[in-house]
Amino acid sequence: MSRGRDPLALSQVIGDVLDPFVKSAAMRVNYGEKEITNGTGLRSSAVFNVPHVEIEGHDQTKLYTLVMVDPDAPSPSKPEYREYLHWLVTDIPEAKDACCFGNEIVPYESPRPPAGIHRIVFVLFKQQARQSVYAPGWRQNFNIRDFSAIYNLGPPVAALYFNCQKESGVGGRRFQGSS
Amino acid sequence: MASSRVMPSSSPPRQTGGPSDLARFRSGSGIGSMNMDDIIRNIYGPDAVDGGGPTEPAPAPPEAAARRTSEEVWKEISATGGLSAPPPAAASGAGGGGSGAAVMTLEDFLARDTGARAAGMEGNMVLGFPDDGVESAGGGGGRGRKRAPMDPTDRAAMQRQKRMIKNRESAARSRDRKQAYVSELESQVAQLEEEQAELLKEQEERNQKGLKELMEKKVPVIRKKLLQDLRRTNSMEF
Repeated sequence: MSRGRDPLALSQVIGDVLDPFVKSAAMRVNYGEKEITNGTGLRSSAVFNVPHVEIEGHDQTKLYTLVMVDPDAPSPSKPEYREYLHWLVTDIPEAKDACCFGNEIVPYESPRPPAGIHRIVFVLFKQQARQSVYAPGWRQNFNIRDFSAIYNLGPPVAALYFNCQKESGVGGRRFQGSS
Repeated sequence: MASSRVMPSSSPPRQTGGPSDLARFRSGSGIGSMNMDDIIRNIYGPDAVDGGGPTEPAPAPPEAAARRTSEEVWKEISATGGLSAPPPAAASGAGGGGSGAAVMTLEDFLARDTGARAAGMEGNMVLGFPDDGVESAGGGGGRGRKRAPMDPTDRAAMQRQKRMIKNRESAARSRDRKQAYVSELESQVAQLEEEQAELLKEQEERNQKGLKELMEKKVPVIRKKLLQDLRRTNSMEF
């Protein structure tokens, strides 16, 4: 029953961050040599640098907006900063790398989860035309649904998420008092 | 599509069975020392330890409790708080505006829960308020009493329970993560297999085509040679 369900739904990304949508574009995200698939587990060091994000296709007149958020900040059990905005790029043409060919509205901040295992979500929207987007005043408590409504981006065309934890890992015995 | 993350068939019964979930927890034999069976007994009724209790939603022997997603866990907790702490407006100020929705945090739930329960259930904390006012007054008193005079045993019990809830959520999240990962792997496998089958087919086709062409080219060559030979033998120099 739970087999073959969309990983985005199983991990509650659909629900916590996005509404159900139909995938209509394909994007590839690579941190260095490592290609990211849904649920990939990475530590902070692996995601330190800006990833390569490429949207499949050949029509460079089509433009996309990419949003990267952490819905589990600062901690999955108490996500007060949901969603924490890590990166926002607009006007990305198809077949081009987002880091170099798009308009970086909010610069890339590498995820450094202080506690727990966080889902980090990449969401891709298709733009009708070149548009200017204003950076929010702060990174926390960003809301992708509202963002999409404000800028008339419609539903996402693609989404991808991975799991990120701090460098020293989570779980295991804690020797100091904790609650 | 919205209901895709909660199994539809069991969702309604869960909500109605849910309210007494944590209520039984607290009002039951005392948090003191509970083993797994006790916990399950408290949640699901005395019958559930070995079989299924009548209050059980259909597919849920005790193991299924472990398989609830984090979403469902929170739904139940919210339902508990929402249904047994009446006029949410009055008593849930402590909840920080939480109206029983999923936005509520753990702390808020416990604060509200403490307030709502303390007057009713825990006999050792006598408030002496009339029954009608017990809700809001208990809420008010409970709100204030969150930090101040708590027995060490009470505090330990609360902490233990808090930790248990947190751990349960964490476990549910971990299960979701695992399921999602496996699901992704499965879809990748399917995709790769498909790709491989296609590539093999393509390769096979190319081989066949090459072979066919080769055969076609060979036959004319042989024929020509024979004819030439024949002609040569005919025209000998005598």
